[in-house]
Amino acid sequence: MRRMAIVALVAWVCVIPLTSWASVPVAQQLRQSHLSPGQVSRLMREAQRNHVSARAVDSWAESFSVLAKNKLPVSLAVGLVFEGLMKQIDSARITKGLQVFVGELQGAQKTLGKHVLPGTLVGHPHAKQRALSDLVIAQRSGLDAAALDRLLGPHRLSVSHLSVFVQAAADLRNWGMSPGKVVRVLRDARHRGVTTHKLLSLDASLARQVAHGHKPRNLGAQFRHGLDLGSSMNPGGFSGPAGAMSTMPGGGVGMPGPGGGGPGGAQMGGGYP
Amino acid sequence: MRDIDNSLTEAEVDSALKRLPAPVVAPQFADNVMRAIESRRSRNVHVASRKAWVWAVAAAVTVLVTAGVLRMGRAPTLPPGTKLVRFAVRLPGAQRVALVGSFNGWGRRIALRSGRHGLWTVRVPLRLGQYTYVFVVNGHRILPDPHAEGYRPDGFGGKNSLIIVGSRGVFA
Repeated sequence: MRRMAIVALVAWVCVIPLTSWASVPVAQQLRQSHLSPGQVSRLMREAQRNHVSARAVDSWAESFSVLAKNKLPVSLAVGLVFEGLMKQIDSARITKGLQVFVGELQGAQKTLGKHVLPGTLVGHPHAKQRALSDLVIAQRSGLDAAALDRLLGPHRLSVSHLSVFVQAAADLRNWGMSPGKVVRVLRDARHRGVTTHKLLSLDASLARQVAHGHKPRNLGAQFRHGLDLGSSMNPGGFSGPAGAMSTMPGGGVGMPGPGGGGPGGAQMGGGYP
Repeated sequence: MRDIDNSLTEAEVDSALKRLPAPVVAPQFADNVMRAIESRRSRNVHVASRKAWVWAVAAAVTVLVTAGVLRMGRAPTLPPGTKLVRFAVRLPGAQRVALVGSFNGWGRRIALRSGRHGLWTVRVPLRLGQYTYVFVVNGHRILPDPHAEGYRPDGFGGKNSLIIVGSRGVFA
């Protein structure tokens, strides 16, 4: 009786991996695509829950492999898949979105290789990841590789410097500035040696205005005025980076977020009420 | 009055004792006495151990209550480089609202609490950096924050809200 129970237990343990979804070749391919064991198990679990076919997961694994072979951060693509699954997007659309994203990342890598000081990438994988992500966002906002080349200029920048300029460019595009104007304004800023701190402060200030429902009027003039670039256009009533800084967090007051004055939005503070 | 100790010799006491009848003692008398002593001793030990346990529980409760009273009204310590971010959205008709975003890898949904006038809020500790997020209304409807600091295309034809914790340019 005891011997039979042991035999049954051993047989059961052997059968589990053969019948489990996690044992199919796609899981092995996911493991070979530089995904962590945790990411693989979560992906398999969520794919099963969303009734995604093994074939679709297989194509995702292929995309991850392409990124891994090109030394591109697989985690960004994995995040995109998790986002799609969370939003219950059809697996075919996730596959399409992932393929587009792989192409965008490859384009971003070329731009990064052309404009960044290589030394600033060494030992900073997160900075590289962020810069690639920023470049993809800028591309999606309508700044193609040529526009980004013109904006970033012939001299190489540090990876953090590049990120700041690309973030500002994407924001200006999202607020309605034409690609040509974005390139001109930010190229001028770079030539005049505008600090990244000043650029970020102005960008954050404009973002807060937009969040409060005040779409910046005459954005180009406001931006030039804020960066002290000089302009023949009317600078308008924008307070500039100094005004922007006055609302930054300090002394437990907290930085009013976009929804601070209204019903919604996010608001940062130093602690619980 | 005569002093008894001085009046009797040791020999006289011995002979007097020998004349007394032998005491009638039950055969298990000594065993019964010893058993009674043992049971009393073990009962005393049990009571003592129970007392120690009660004292330990009382001390623990006191410590917890004191800690709770001291913590009341004071902000909990957040890890360095972390800020408490309040997310809020006004949705009077919603049954339930959740928050999900890149800050937790688009994983677990964080439930918002409903307040007055349909205002739903939640506070989330976030490390400095940039994050994209959306609200999930009634379990299925994806809603970007109408008052977000910015928006980013999500790669599936929709858009995500953007939150920047700390200053811009800080990497998450």
